[in-house]
Amino acid sequence: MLHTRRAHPLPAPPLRQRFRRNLLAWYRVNGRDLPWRNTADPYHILVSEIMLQQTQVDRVLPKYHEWLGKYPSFAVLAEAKPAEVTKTWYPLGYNIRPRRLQSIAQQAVEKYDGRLPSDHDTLMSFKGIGAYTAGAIRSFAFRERAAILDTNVARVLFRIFVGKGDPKAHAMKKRLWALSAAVLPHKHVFDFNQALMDFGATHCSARKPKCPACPMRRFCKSATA
Amino acid sequence: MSAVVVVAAVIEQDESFLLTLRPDGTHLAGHWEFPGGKVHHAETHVEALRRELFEELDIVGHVGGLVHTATHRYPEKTVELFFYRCGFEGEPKPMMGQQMRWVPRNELSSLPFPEADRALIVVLSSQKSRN
Repeated sequence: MLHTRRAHPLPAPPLRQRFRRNLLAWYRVNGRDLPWRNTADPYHILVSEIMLQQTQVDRVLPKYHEWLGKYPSFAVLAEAKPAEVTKTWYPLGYNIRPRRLQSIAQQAVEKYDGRLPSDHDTLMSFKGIGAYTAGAIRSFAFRERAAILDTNVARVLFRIFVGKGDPKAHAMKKRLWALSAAVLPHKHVFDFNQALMDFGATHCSARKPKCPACPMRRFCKSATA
Repeated sequence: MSAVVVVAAVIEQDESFLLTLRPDGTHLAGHWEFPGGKVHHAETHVEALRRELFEELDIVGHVGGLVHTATHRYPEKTVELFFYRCGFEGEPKPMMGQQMRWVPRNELSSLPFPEADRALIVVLSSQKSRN
């Protein structure tokens, strides 16, 4: 019988289990209570996701409430004056985003009865939706079981499970995607992914990771204490 | 007349470069280019390049080292170009209706590029892989 060995084996199931358990326990105590974590409305979640691309949570919060007050649904947003929409967005920056949001709203109203489709190909056929946004909509607005890999998540997985090598290399990115999919639980996917992002943003941060108080330090490949 | 400052991304993966085609009706239509654009007021080069990559391709850029600079005087304007190596997160999708292609290194020299990119194309065509 032929045995092939993966160049980089994924963590064994017991270790994945431990990582998940520790992460979710950490999240229950330290997770941020954010309004888009308490809604199932795909429109609300889409607005939060687009606002959060490239922008910090504390800057998004007041604008998120203001936006939903003014544009409570796809239908209202679709009809709004573009200049007004851009003005409401200010000062979040990356000003292509309000135009994309409005364009998504218009397409949803025209073609899908004011709702968002949930499958990848239909989402990608929207003008203004790329893979990044499509992935966010599927995992957060429709709670599908999909792996994520943003900067924070990549850093957490690299530090804990890899430890050495170039974290930005193309091959490493593939490996980190595989890791992100391997550690994903079958239940509580939404909480798990939110936890992973929070953990990277506030605990395992780029410059000041809190290693001494870290629930992962016993098996983390980069722990400093 | 002050110069227009433009930043552009040299994105290389598996011996190919990510290029976009300038759409009809724009300055230099029909030429291939490295994704990027004008630096806005009060923006740093890194901020401008990240914004442009997000707008044009829906990717989050990691801006690396400066690889090349060029100043070019067109009859209608002077352009200063700064090229940076970039990595990215996400899957690039042309968001502005432009064409996009991964062009293998050995095909670079056969495509039409703006005059200002020529020296860089010569350098990249003759380089060995970085990966």
